[in-house]
Amino acid sequence: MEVFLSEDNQIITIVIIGVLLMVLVAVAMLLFLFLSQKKIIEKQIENKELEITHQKKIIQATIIVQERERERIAQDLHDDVSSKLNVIHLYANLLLEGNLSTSEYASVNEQIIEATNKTLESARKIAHNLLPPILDKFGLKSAIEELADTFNISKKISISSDINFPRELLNSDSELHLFRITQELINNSIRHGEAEECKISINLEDDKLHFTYTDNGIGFNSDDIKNKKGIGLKNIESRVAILNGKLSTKSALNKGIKVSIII
Amino acid sequence: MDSINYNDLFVHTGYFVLFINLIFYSKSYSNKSIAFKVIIVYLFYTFVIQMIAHFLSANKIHNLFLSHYYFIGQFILFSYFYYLLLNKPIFKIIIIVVLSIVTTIIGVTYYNNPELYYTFNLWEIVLSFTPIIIYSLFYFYESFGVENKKYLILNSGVFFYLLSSTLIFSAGNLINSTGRSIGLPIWTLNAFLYVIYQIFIFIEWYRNFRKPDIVSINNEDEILL
Repeated sequence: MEVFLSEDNQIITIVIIGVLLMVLVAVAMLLFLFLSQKKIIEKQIENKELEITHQKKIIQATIIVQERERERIAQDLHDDVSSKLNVIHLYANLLLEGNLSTSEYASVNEQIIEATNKTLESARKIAHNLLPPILDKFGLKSAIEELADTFNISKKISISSDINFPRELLNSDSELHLFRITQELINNSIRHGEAEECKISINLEDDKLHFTYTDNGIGFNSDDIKNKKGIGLKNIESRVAILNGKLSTKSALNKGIKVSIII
Repeated sequence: MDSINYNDLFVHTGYFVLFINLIFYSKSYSNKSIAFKVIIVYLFYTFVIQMIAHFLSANKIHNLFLSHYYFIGQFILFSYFYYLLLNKPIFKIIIIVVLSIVTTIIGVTYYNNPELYYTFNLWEIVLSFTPIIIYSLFYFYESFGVENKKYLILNSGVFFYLLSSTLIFSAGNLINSTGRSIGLPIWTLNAFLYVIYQIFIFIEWYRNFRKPDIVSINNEDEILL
């Protein structure tokens, strides 16, 4: 009987140990799950914060670009329009005083007409720079070609373009963004890249718009790009973000730059 | 003598927490999902079975046959609960297939061996407990990386209690054959684990369902943000 009892006791002990082990396994498992859950969520929050910082930087860049643009417009208005209007004002006052000879009168009149014409031309140029009318009327292809022609005539850089996509694919806002990106890239090539040639191609592949820009300038080290993003590039980045596109920039020292955007 | 007191203490605490849970869950009944209502049905069902078992044992009537209703009822209700809760179609299919296979097997064992009705049915225990444990793992898998997911605490309780008690119930016949006084520590342990399980269910209610529904919608908005 005693032997039986101790055998029973052993079985009970084994069962109890088994159950306790199960409890241990369950607790360990739950702890593991909750701790890793916490970790994952922390990581997610971290990523979100990074994203927010990135967006903040883009917004800052946008604001800075906006301010610079305003400054430039103010400068243009002041230099080209206001100064000429001042001249006209002066001549008009001369006419008002009235004690001029006939030849003087004719000359002042001519000056006024000339100054008015110049002012008109300046105003038209400023407006054109702000928003090229050709973009609105004839679309991105014509606008970029015109832009390329302007630069080609100035002999600063030689630009070739290969643009082929149905016009209805992009709305006017998207066209403007792409146009601004092109402008920015060309400016960068001239100002920082010291490039002599650049190519612009926009094509439709697999239902997606592929925008590619290459130049033969001094380029930069691709690895540094993350650390040293200038306002220009950030501006491009924010425009690409608005277009819901994907931007990739490739460059190496003295090997030019290649920017591709897929929308 | 001491362990008898502990056993009674835990058993009665278990009844008490179960009763509290039943009341609180029923009070939050309105505008809740079907899954929540399944939990209420489960709590009510277990409470009724516990009360009948208590009544029978108090009157010295054999009450082991109730365990079958308890196990199978628990299996079907939790299968339905996880069927509602899990999102992946493959999990839902698994639940339906397992539910039909397990009920068939259990039915066959009773047909072949009717006297199983008066003992613990080992097949019934293993086949009705393990799927639920696996479903709870499915739910852990689905809620991974999701913040403030509901039923996670309840799910933890289910996982914890079913995993530990499977062994106790599987050894039930063996324990009962050793005579009451020797087997008692194990039933005490079971009663203790059951109290913890019910506390998990209570915390689930307290954390996620205590407030009226409008507030919980706001919580979901926070998750989306």
